[in-house]
Amino acid sequence: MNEGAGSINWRRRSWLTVGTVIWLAAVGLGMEKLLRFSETSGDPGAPPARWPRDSRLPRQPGLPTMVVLAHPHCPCTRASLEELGRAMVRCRDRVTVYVLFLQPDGVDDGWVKTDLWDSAAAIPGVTVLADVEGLETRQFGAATSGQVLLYDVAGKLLFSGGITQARGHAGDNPGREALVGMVAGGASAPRIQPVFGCSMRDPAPREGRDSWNP
Amino acid sequence: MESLDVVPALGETMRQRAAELFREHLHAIERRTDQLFGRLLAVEWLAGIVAALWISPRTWAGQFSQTHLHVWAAVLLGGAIVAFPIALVGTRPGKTSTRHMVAAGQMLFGALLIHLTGGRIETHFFIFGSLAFLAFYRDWRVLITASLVVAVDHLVRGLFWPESVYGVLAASLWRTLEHAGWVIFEDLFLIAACTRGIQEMMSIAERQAQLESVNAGIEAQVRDRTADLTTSEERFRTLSGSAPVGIFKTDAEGSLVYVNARWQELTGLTMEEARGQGWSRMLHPEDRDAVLASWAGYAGTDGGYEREFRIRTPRGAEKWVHARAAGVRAGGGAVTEHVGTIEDVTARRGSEAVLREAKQAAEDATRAKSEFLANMSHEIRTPMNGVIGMTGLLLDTRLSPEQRGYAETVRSSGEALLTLINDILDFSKIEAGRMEIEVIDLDLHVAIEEAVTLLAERAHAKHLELACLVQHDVPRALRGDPGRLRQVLVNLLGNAIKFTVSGEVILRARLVETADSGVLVRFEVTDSGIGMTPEVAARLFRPFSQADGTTSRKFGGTGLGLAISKQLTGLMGGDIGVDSAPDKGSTFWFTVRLQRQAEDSEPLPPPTANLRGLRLLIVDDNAANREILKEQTRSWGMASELAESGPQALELLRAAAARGRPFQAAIVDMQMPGMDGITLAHAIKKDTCFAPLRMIMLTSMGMRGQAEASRKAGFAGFLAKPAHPSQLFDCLATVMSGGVEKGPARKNTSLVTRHSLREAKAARNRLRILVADDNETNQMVAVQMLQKLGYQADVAANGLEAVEALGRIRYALVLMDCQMPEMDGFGATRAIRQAEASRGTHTPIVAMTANAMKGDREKCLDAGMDDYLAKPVKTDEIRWALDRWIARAETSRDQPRPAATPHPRSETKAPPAGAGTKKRRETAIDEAVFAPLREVDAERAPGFLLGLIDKFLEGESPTRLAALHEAVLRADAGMLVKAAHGLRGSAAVIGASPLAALCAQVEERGRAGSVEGTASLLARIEDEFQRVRKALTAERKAPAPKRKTA
Repeated sequence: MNEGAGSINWRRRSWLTVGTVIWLAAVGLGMEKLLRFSETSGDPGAPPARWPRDSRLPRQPGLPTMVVLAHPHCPCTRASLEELGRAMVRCRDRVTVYVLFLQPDGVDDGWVKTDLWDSAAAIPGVTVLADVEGLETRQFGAATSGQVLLYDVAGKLLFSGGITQARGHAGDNPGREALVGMVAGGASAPRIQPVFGCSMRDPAPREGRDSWNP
Repeated sequence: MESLDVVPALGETMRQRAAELFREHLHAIERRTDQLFGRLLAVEWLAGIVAALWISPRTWAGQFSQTHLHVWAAVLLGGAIVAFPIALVGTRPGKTSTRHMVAAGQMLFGALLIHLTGGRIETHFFIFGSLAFLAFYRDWRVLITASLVVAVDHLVRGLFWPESVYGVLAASLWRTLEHAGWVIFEDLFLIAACTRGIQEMMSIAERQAQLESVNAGIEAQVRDRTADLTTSEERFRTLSGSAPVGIFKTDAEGSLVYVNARWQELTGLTMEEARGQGWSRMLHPEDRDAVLASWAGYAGTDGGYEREFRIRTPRGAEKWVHARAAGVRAGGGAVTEHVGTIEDVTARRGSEAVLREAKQAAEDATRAKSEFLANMSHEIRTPMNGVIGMTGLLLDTRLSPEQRGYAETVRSSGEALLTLINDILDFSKIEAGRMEIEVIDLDLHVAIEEAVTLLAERAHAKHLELACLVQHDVPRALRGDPGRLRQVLVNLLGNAIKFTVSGEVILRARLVETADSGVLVRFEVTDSGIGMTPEVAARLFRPFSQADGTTSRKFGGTGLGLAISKQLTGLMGGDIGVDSAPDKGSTFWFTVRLQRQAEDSEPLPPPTANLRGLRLLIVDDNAANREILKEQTRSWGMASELAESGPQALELLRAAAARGRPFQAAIVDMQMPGMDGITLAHAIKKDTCFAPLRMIMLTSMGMRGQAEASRKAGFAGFLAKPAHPSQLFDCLATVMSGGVEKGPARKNTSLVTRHSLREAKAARNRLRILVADDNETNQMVAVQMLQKLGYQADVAANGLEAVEALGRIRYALVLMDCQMPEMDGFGATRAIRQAEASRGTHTPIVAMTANAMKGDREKCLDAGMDDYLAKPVKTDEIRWALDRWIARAETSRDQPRPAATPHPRSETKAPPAGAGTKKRRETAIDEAVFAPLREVDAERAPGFLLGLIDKFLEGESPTRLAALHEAVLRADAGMLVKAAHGLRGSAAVIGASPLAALCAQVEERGRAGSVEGTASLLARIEDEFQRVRKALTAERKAPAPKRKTA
């Protein structure tokens, strides 16, 4: 009996061990996939090195201009707006900031004005605008929601990229630090950072449709 | 478990139980916490999905979107994280591995959640909250596991995705340490909390183990008590059910709650009918109110209830029941209920009624018997009084020796019969419970001595030594019933003498107990008689029981004496018994309680009153008694009148007072028709005109207690019929001498009774009298008379010896002959008075002279004598003189001496010279003189008379006759006077009065100095002497019994 009971216990322990290992492995794998997804940046786009002439965005003389291009439904952009808020603490009145929410053709204003719109509008010193039909998005060559472009007083591109470290993750990150440094400290070396967010472009059709034409 | 070891008071069993309880409790907590986390993980999973759906539901590309990876992660990865721990919770709750997996899952899910929320710092609180939740397990190891998971997560991510942890690519070591520090910080508190929680759980387990132990003990005790109670209740039910009496129980207020079967059977009521106050319907209408009132008064109290009453059953049967009840206290506190019984006593009540009737009948019969006995006592004593009294009077007349013998026999037989009747009456009274004991003053020593004296003669006749030993500490002056005490003593002494052939009988008295109020005295009568076996001794004190059947035939007696003695000693507060062995003699003993006398009590003074001429009223309805008393008192010179009833007595008293010659004394009979003696006394005392009257109660009823009633009624004396003449004389003399009037205390306590008279007489017995006489016959007679009167007597043959004796011994009185050789009475008296003058004393001296000539009295008084008596002196004359002069000497020592007042006979009947010749020629011996001598012989000194006759006939007289002849022949007047005087004295003493008278003539002639004519007188003297010789010889030859009965 004792041998039988011991055998059962051993078997149970074995199954438990195996189960635990499998469980930890599965969880670890899942976590690895999730982290990898979070760490995967979006398309950095092709922003113009000079302020595009066709842009309808007014620039204030003597002040650099920051343009944030965002998708109104991108959950990752919430973290980018949080970081923008933190950056504005130090950059307010030193830069003209526009947040442009993509409004593809055929969608109403309600599609644009989400909670992200409200969050952006709540940041002091920030002008929120709807980018009707994606004209500005296209002119600034942005492809991923949350992309930030900083042009100096002369209209020269100083910074392009995201101000978060991963998808949807707020927190200290090199992008924000660089951006703030440029605005507040007057650093002039251009900087490109990865950007984490949803794609601003419609998915390309399998037939080879242009992804920039949503 | 360490905690349990530090409690030495816990036993091993209890420690094990505490450990078991601890484990059970901990396991329960673990299972409960497992289940909690199982549910929590499920909820977290759902919450994670919701959060993912809320925060990042979809991922977009332009206008197109798809489900966000986070949603899938929340569903799939989150599900994977919680699934395994939940599965373990479901399959292995409480297991160590389960809670560790739960901890790991919880922390992993935290990591997922943080990720899903975008790494919000707020979501990190989930980690700390989870750690706190995990502390619910109270297992610090779980916290370590959780912390390890966090550490591994940080480590892996720090290595591979440092920006996911710290937001920077190159994490600072300090930040890692800071994160670890916060987790450790919390872990420390939580581990401490877990440890404390474990200790508290252990403590609780210990207490619970103790509590369980105590509870188990209590439960065991409760089980035992319950079992006892059940047994007791069952026992009570069984007993109650089978009890022959009705048993009931009420609540504290008295409402009935239980009755047994017998109760229901007895009352005819069922339990339901009787419940509450329903039982009251059984009460008999006549008893109902009283019973309910008494029950209402009892209920609620803590006393007892007991009552007998009647009940009436529904069928109409009436019964007497005896009900008892008592309160029951709970734990000694207030009364909580009452239990009681009722018993059918109808039969007993019936028996009691019959008994009451029988008792009443018995009491009526006893009362009738007692009345009959009292009447019989009176009826028997009255004729007996007549018989004995008349015989006494007859004996005072001149009788032939034969007639005197017959009369004496009648008197002694009467007295014996009276004694027997008294015994039977005593026994009857004892049986009827009506015997009463007097409490009067008594001299215990005298009472004892008197009892011994009474039996001394009988002991002497059997040549037995009769001795008496009273220990010195036995008090003398006590209060009790001297008659009954004497009766017991005489009975025991009489028995001892009766049953002792040779040897001795000794009476001892000693003190057993003493107190302020009285004493307990033990008397022992020891004899050297035949003794008896214990069996015989055991039945000795029963009535009509003697040692054996032959005893009464051999020794006589009724067998009542000891039974009476037993009852009497019991009535006197004592006991009686006997210690005896066959042929070794017996010791009969008894004890009596006697009270102490008041300190001012003192013995009666001797009677000193002169009764002569006293006016006496005799009140008696019996004519014979009146006559006897009248005749007796007349002989003492009293003038009496007779009344046959109380009213007539009052009339006579008033008439005498009106005449100015009131009565000075009254003898009153107790039992008279119409007005009895006590009532008459009260009537007399009411009238102040009769205040000087002294009353003596004479009763024939013989009822105890009358003495006290008589004293209260004002009687000074109390005698039972038939009273002996000497007793009556002494009583009258004592009463009239004021013995009872000496002071208030005396008046309240003393009554002259035959006992007090005996005691006074016994007191006199201690007095010594000196008889100075040269005549031996005179000496013998005087000594015997004095001894008969209770005195001790010494003899002096002449005046010189008398003077010498008085120098050595203090005598109470001297009887002095005047003519004596060596020194005559006159000379001796003068010498005595001369000696007394220097000492300041005075001894009464009473002359006894045969001269009886004119001028002798003055001559005696001139010589210093106090009084004189003429020879031949009679007993009552000597008693009168002694009483008078001794009392005066004792009580009035400092007062002037009274004048000599000779005895009436001395004045009125002193024969002048020659008178006897004429008057008593007819008989040679004067019976009036000789009878007392015969009496002395019979009563006190058997053989005395024979000795006296022999001395007279053979000794003195022939010598003196020869001297007379010689004096005549020689014509010697002096010699003639001396011889004639001597013969005359002897003749007078013995009652030869004619011879004495002839001698007196010769003596007178000789004193005149002449012997002329004396020869013829001498011849007549010779003739007369022969006549005397003949008479005395006849007397001497008379049979002894005849003399003795005189």
